[in-house]
Amino acid sequence: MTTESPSGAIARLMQKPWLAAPLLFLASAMVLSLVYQQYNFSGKWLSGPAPSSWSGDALTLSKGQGYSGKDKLVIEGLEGEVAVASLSLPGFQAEDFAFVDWTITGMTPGVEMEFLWRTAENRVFKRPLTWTGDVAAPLQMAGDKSWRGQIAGLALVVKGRLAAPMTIKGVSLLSARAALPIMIKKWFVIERWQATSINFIDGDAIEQDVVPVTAIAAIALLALVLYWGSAKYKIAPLNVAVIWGVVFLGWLALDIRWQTNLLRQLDLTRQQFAGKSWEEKHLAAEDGALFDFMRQARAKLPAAPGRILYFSDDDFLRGRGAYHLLPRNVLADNALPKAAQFKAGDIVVLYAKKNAGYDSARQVLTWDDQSLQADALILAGSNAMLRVR
Amino acid sequence: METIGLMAGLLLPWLLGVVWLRAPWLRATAITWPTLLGYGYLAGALATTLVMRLLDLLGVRFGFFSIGLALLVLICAGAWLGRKSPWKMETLGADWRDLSGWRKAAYALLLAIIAVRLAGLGLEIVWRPLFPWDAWAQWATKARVWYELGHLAPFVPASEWLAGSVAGAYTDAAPHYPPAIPLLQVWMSYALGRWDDTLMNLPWLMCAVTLGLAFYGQARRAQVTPLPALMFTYFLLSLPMLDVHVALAGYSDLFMGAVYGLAAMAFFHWSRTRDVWQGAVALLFALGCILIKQPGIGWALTFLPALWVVFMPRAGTAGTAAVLILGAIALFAIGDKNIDLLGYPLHLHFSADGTPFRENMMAMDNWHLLWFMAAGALVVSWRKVLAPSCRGMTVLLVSATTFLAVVFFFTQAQAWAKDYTTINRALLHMAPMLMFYVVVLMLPARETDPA
Repeated sequence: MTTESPSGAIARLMQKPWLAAPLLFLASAMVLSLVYQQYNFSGKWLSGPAPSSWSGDALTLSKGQGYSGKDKLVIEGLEGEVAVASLSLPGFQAEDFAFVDWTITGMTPGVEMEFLWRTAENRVFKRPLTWTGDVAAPLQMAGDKSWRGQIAGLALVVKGRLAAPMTIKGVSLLSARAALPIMIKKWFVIERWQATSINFIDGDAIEQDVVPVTAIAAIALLALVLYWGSAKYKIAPLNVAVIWGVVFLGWLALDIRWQTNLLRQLDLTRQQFAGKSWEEKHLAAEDGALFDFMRQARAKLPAAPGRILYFSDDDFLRGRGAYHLLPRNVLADNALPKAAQFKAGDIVVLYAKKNAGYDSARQVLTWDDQSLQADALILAGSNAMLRVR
Repeated sequence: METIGLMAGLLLPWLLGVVWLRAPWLRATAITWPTLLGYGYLAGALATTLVMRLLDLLGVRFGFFSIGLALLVLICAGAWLGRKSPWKMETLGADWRDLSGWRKAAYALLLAIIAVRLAGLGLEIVWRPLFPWDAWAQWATKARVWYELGHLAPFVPASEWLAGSVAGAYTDAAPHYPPAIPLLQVWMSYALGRWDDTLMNLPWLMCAVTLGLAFYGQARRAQVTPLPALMFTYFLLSLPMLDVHVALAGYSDLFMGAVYGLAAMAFFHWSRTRDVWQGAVALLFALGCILIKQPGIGWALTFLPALWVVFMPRAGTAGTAAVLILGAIALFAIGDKNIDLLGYPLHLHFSADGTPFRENMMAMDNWHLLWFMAAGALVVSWRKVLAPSCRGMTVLLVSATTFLAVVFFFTQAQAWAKDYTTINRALLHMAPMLMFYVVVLMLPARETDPA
């Protein structure tokens, strides 16, 4: 019976490309994750207290309107554009917890949030909450010089204009042991299709501590260096398949993240549009109200082809509205031209357009210092379709 | 009935491309089915738009039957011309059936991943109404009008429209853009029998599928074995920015990248073997770039230095280097100036800010590891870069990079780089070519050409 030396066993494993590549990749990932944790949380990532969590109903709304119950706090209104939800604690050592993770839903544009903490010396510090997609990113407190000593209270300040109620589901204090799971969780936050998606994706990546693409590239590179070293010192033979295997695994790791996002987005798309006709899809889309208005406008247009001049202050509404008016011959613009440039029979459509108004009694369209006699075909709030006399 | 129509809308151009790419004078003797199918659809799609333009010129009203009949006649003519070419294609040495052990499992896994990806992207196209900005601002606008009118009504700038100087003219955000992309949507709408701004975009899925086929076929032609060839095909089809342009169909950039990439791959093979089919196809697809988008003229021109180097290696290399240096000096000497190039008003002004490029190429996940891999390939294979087999492609890559560098560092397009609106779309034009370059640079070709 012979006993194989460890280097002999490694050499044997490394001769199998299908095994060598994953092993190298895994080893590299482990090394780099250890380096990351040690660099950011020197020693503390090995041990630490269990997470401490409080559900939303443990918070007190000291400013603003809302209610608590069923493990949540719902903020329905602000007081002077501010709401404050606070949590009194028995006290804990800041150094024990590297992360504070708020779980909040219903965040809308125009609202900013700040995390406040009070020390035993009654000093108050704050940090703005950042968002990854529509999820509040866990705050890494370990590097914050003000996060130290005994903490006696936590609070969340909501500022701005609340378009809809928002819900605080809870807050958790996490030790440095949670660093890696938090990082991975951030990587897998869904990124929905948005207007910018056609130009770039993953815009939040550059704000993250560890950028997924760079991290995976580093893992693959280190794995290749390890492999090169093992070949140089004759631990394993150099095999091109292993090199490409490592590159493939790096690619696949990023692609799993991307594929996961695509599938989650596809499910949202399915819920929103599947099984609908072409027109129903547009009605269900984000600009459904605009499509509906333009559909009504098209129905009331004279049968004879003619010019349509469509005006809106908003870039998106202007371009998109013009598209919905096609195949009628439409010009979309921001500013109305001089009255002399209109012709009798021209159709004028106004949508979300300020500084232009229609006087129903006088049947006159006015803007700037210009005016034009026109008949109303549609008047719907501030939106209108008119025919020039 | 609609499904049959859609199938006809996709298959007729495909068949048209396939039969004509087998025409006897092209000598399609050394190509494989994936290559023929891949090139066939894109060639056929572009040809369909040319047929439509010809019909319009002849005063024939667009309709499924008028266009379909013209395509059918051309398909019959192409099939008749290629009647003596054998349908049994060449096989390139070992195929996937000959793979053993884990390689076969890996091959099947890659195929499955690609299939899932393309299926998901296809469903996005089918379910989501026209979404991205330019798609409804400057491409589908023309498609909608031409579909309803049945002819190519002119599109003019807003000032001309307002003045009423061109009778029956329409206007949109880019009235001067070429008609190929909207004409593809028009043809699909006729095939469907109604206007539907989701289903008319199925050619974008076809573009991705056939780009993958062509890439795989050409990689195999470069004597890359089946598994690495499929792995790189997967790399290409999984590029997030490419996927986005399939899922949110309606932009021209995917077609631009596919057509340029197919031209580059064929050019690579022609430069090594002087194969007539590859040379003819490279020329056709390089010219095809011009049909898609204004910058296509620039992309087509990037082949000229590469061609020069292929025909006159020393003089071409020295000349290209000289042109590069003189061009750079001229650009710096000109300084701030307004010019009009290829229909674009350009304000020349030098400003080199690499941050948006670094962020978009190497931090945000627009390209997975493509740029790291390309950089690694260049470092590891630097000796091969100017070897006779790769020289043409290298110069093509340099030309393409120079084209983008001039646009983004010397013109007002730098603003579109800084706000991220154009960087990745422009890079998408060269991404398939670059991926193929990495393949030929990194993977050692086998010594013998497999029979």
